[in-house]
Amino acid sequence: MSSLRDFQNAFGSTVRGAPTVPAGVCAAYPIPLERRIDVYRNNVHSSLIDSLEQAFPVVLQLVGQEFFRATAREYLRDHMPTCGTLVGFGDGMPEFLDAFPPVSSLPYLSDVARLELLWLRSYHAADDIVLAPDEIANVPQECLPDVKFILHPSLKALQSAYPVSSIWQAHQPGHRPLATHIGEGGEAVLLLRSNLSVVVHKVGAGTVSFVDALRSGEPFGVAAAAALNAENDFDLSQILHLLLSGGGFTRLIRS
Amino acid sequence: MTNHPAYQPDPILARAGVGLKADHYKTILNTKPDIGWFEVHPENYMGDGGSPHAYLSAIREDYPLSMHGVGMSLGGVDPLDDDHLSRFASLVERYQPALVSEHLAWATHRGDFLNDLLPLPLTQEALDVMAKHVDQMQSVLKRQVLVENPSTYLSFEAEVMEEPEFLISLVDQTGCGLLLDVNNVFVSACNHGFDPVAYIDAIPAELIGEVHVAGHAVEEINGAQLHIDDHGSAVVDDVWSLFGRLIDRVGPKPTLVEWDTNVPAWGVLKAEADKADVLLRQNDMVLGRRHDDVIPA
Repeated sequence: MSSLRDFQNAFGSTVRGAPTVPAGVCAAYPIPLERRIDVYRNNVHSSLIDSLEQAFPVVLQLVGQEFFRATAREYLRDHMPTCGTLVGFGDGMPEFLDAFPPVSSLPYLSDVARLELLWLRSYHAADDIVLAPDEIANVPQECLPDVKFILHPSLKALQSAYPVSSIWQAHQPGHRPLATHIGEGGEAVLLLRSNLSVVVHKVGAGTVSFVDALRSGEPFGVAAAAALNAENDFDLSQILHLLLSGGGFTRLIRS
Repeated sequence: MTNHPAYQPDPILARAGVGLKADHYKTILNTKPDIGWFEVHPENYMGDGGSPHAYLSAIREDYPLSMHGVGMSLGGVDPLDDDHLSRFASLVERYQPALVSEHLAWATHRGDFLNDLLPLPLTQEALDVMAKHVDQMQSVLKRQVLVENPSTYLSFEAEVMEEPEFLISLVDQTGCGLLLDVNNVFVSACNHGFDPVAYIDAIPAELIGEVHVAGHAVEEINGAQLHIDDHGSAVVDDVWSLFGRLIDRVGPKPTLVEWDTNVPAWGVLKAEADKADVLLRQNDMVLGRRHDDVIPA
């Protein structure tokens, strides 16, 4: 063996799948070296694939475990974790699925993965204060359009061209998978943590535009206009109620 | 449930503890079981907030913690990941664990993290790398780290030391402590054909800050057995017997019963911890110690 670096480079490649045995490795008879190295290969791959199964439980159900694990193994070729925690691991999965020919007949799959990633980000998002409904009540009506809202870190939103909310709901524990017609049109969801649990709300396209505009720093009036532009029957009071009672805002800034 | 309590670093009891699993959070908070402490992998608490931190904070109010890292890659030739080290340090600061540990192993390859405890050839170069990284980790965390012996499946022609000698040299160079995993000693001994009793007997009592016991799997290959450390079942009698021999000699130590895959119901895990507690208490009697004899944090 030349140096520790040479060994680790070679052994790392071996456990990632290269069919070579690094120089200087040995073991007691009669168990072959290959079988021993397989323990490490298996630990690396199965632990990471298990982690992806836990991150994408609905994608897993949609394609079945055998197909999911084979897909995850392909994903690992170019998407190994880059830090010592698996919190956040798998964040390249939606784009990977978009470009993965074996799932091209399931065009909604990547958006389901996007929803599951947002769920995880909401789950792990920082804790923060919640804006009291009184604070907005105290803003004079004529000043409201200029108010900016700071969103709670756990608030996420997604617009899909596919019925992601229906698909996701049908695959939650305790739900019986229902027939969902992917031609029925797109759906949007809003995710928000309530008492430590992430709640997925089915919303209209306007809500996503509204939340996206507030997140990018637009004032309330501009965000509401963007929402109405995206959805004719956007119900502002209903969404405000959802966001205020659900803890979707942390602070407001009056100009 | 508070999110940012100011904990004092509790001393940890020389009793049995178990790994804290999300499936058991509510049972633990609702029933306040009589158990010495809980072990957490800090990597699972490296998100910013939400449920993991809320439950860990609440449980930490009632129990001491052992923070057991699996992702530092202390034996890797590349520099430690400063971001990972700093996240680890924040968790130590926030939760004030009684014990902090990592592994004699490496896990990084060309910038990627392989999520396994890979084997380190026990050479002088490896000892230098480990010592440098243990020093760095202890200085950033501002506390002693315990280093755990791994389960291994391979050996190396270039090795110049046995594992106990390597670990004792690491303690001499860095002032770290040792986490002696009795199951890992047994698994490695079976896989390489060395005597586990001689290994256990070679570790000086005062270097041991924590002990692990666990279950493992056995695979038959060419009429021989490959023992695989999967933490997926109850502790086997051979490992209990090695554990008994160890604590006969060194006295009671904080002892983790590891069960990380096929995690059983809380009651089964607790019963396994109770078995370790019985052995620890028996040795208190033998040595004339109080069973709440504490190990300074």
